[in-house]
Amino acid sequence: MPTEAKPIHLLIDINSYFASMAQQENPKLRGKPVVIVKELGRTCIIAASKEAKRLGISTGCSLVQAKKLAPHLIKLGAEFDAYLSATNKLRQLFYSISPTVYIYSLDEAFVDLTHCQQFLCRDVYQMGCQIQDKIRQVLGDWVTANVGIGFNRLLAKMAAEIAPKGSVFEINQDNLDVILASVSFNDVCGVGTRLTRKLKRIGVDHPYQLRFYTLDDLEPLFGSFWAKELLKIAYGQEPHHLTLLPTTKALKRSMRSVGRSITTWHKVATLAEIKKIIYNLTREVIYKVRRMKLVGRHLSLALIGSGGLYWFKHQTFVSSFSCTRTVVAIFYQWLEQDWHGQFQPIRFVVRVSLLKENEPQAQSLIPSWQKQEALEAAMDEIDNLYGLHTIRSGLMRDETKIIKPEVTGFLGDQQYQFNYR
Amino acid sequence: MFYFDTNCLLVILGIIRLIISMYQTIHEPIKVAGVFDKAHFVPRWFEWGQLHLNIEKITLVSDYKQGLLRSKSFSVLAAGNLYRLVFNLNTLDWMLDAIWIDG
Repeated sequence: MPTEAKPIHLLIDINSYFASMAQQENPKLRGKPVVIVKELGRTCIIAASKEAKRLGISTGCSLVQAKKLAPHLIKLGAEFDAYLSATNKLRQLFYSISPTVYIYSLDEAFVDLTHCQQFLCRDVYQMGCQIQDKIRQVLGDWVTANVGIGFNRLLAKMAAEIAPKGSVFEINQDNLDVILASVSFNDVCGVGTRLTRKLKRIGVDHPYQLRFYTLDDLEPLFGSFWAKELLKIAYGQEPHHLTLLPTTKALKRSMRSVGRSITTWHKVATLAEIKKIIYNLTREVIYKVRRMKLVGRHLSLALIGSGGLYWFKHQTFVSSFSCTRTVVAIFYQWLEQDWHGQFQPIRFVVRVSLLKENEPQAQSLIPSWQKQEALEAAMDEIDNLYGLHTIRSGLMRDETKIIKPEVTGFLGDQQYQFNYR
Repeated sequence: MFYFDTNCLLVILGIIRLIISMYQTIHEPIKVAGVFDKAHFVPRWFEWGQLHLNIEKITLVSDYKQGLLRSKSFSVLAAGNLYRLVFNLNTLDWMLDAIWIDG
């Protein structure tokens, strides 16, 4: 009777991805502190090179703070399409190693070696080193990666977090307790800063310490869900959110919502301008929904101002939507009814959720709806050929003001990016 | 009354430097020659106007897609400078997209 294979998971994390790619492209930037902002003119740093990190500059830092730490800092705008191209190459590389891959973000991927390690390499550490070499071959010699190895994804991710830059590290049964007793919660996947602070307040700095608490002790402090999750983490078991990661086969069905947000350059004062932005974002969301042959029946819209000001409205409908004009009409109705210009928003979020496959339906009997659907289909066809917003509403006449599609670091829309774009 | 402390001055100098170090968009047609190596095109030299530049190293290759329009970008080092060459896979045209301007 064949013995069951021992689970082996890898988490491959490219070090300082965006900045390393900029330095890979331009050797003149190597060895210098380089930071990446979303686009030139923005002031929030979204990635810092290893050299910048050594000077104390980190992701989320403002440019003014960073310049104080490194006056000779080099600032570059993000090139998300180039990063996506590189991630695509990495994805192909990982699939050449194992059929079970989950791209966790633009620069991180879980690779399950459970059933294929015996055919690849006896020593899993050597396997990690080989993957690092292959990454250098694919992306360039400046790009380094951490490879974390564990018998589940929590430990693989933890190993990659605590490993020195560009190294391979394994958490196994021998070192598990030592690691759990020394690692900080910042390096534990799924535990955020608020939870870390809460844990600190009761004197818990390392996951191992939680073993001294019972479920009954933790439940009043963290609630029943997190009490169980924390106890799993204390013993190095996979928490719920990691078990939810889809397998390759399930990935196609996993998209539950499509959203788009933007922080504008200035506060938006007029309703007309707000409507234009919402139209622009909705068109992108609906285009993606339609491209994936999905429909959604939950709509949400949020306007966010500075100083924590927030306006949010959402609704679940009986019927599903996949038409820009219909969704925009609902958003406009919400704005006209409930938005009274309480504040000047600077951030806009549009989302279509409760997505399901668009089953062939009988054509609508209402002529104006038929016309609308035909128009939307024609717009899709042109945009499919030449790119989104090639044909657009008169609301988006000014090409310079169009909010163009972009990839986010979290790659939440990876199903669209890899399979439908 | 205006005065600058050292930090402030360093920040201003940093900003000036930041303005200088950047990619300058060129977007001009160029001629490119190269070889095929293992089914991949490898550019060897290019002509930009009167300038003939031998490619010393390819530092990055990226694939872009906009609708069905596809392009391939080669970041190359030539004559000590970095150039971004873009090949439009639909029209088969080469373009010098940008040059790195050093601070």
